[in-house]
Amino acid sequence: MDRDLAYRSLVDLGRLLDERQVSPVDIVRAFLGRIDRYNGRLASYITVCGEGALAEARTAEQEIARTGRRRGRLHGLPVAHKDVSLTRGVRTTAHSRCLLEYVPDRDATHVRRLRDAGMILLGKTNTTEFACGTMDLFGVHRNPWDLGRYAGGSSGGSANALAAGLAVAATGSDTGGSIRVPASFCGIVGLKPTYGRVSRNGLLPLSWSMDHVGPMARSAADCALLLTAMAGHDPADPTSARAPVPDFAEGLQAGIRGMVLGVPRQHYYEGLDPEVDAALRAALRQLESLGARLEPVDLRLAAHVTAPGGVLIMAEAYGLHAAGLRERARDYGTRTRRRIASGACYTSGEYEDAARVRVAWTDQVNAVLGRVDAIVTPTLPQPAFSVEMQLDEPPDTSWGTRQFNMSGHPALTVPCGFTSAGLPVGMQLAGRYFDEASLFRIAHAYEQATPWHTRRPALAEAAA
Amino acid sequence: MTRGGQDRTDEIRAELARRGIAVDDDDLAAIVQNVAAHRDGLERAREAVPGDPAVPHGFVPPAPADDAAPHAGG
Repeated sequence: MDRDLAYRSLVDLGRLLDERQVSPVDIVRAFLGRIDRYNGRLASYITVCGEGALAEARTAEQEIARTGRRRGRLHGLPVAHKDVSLTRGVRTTAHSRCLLEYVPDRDATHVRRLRDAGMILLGKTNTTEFACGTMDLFGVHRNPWDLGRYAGGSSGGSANALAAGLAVAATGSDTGGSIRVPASFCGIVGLKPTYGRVSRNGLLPLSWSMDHVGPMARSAADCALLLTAMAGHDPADPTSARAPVPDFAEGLQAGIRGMVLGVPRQHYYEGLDPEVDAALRAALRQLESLGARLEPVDLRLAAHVTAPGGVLIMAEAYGLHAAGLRERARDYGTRTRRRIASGACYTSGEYEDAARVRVAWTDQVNAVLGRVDAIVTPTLPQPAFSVEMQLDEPPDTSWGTRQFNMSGHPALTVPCGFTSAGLPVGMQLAGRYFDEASLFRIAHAYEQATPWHTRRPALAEAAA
Repeated sequence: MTRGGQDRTDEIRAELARRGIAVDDDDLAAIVQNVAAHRDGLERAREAVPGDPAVPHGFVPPAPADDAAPHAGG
């Protein structure tokens, strides 16, 4: 019963609630049971809201019984937030010794919006420290497809919880790929929305010009539901856009016949792990068979963007952490301290140069998206690597993702295959500003034609 | 370490000290390596970018104009 509920979609669970087949309390209990069983091995959650979640579930149950209906499509369903999102009355640590005792007195805007939609706070998920460094305090989030491998960072707790059935919905933050990378490694769907689409008010920041907040789930349709509730203008975030918010779940079924999809000639299909390459080639053929037209496109700066992006991120991160590094440097984990301190060393001229690269890159992406509906790339060039490698000297995982933090375009990853070792492979779709709807539509059409998003890791099967 | 490498290390050590950031030798070595890699990458990127694009003030993509910003709701 627990496993059955835990792997249902938001859409399915909502239907079960509407039909009174289950209650919000049943659903929350199912997830709490699985968290109790598996969190020790997966390190998905830093804080689990056991009693709080059950209390919220009872309140939802009573409200639904009293009014005879749910407040909306998310009412009575649980959500997990990455532990860099402020949650009123619930500890928010960012996996850092600096914030071990920090209990915010307010919700981040995206947390409040999902709460207002009736969602129940299940817990706070694991992250690298301040979304950029060490994992010394609460364990390394592990990959449910192979516990010896890394779940990906930094929103790895949200990703592995979803893959292992310890959550049905989650949020993450993405500064260089931190939603899409773990989503790809764990075989789930994650969206970095357009810059400005989702308020960052109440997100513990890393980089003001690169941070994004977005939804994570096991399907494009579930991500669409979450984004519809999370998005929208917020006066408390000066970078929040005043853009209309459509119902992203509408139009999912429209298919992709006639859409034009750009396949970059440079960078993205070079030097791939052979099994990733094969999965992406097969995915492109599948998209074609669904009626999309593939068009080669030039993104000549794609290979050059990650270093300038790193300069922007670390210079801005240092700006935020200058006092902390001065006053309590040893409370930061080693890798975090070193990365953020490096941001103190760049000159304003170098920052400006990085910003010029951003402008040129953004112009290239916009030019391509003037001719195609979306750009299709691998999310990463390789599948998940070992935990030991992550702890020792991890490869640069922002190889294919940081580009769209630089430009602010929306980008989504969807599972597109598995390696012979049983590790997920992700396909990234990047689209025009504020056109997340097209990305959901493409991903949904692809999901309907392929089985990848329905596979479940054996870990949960064997131990349940 | 080359003379140039030592100079860069000394420069970064001095900059961190000026900003009041205490680092040990291992920290310093990692930071120097990190900064050098990013500077090299930035230099290559600037060479790949034609001209001097103007840097905008602020960074918010153009939203579809709609003051009311209607919301479909959750």
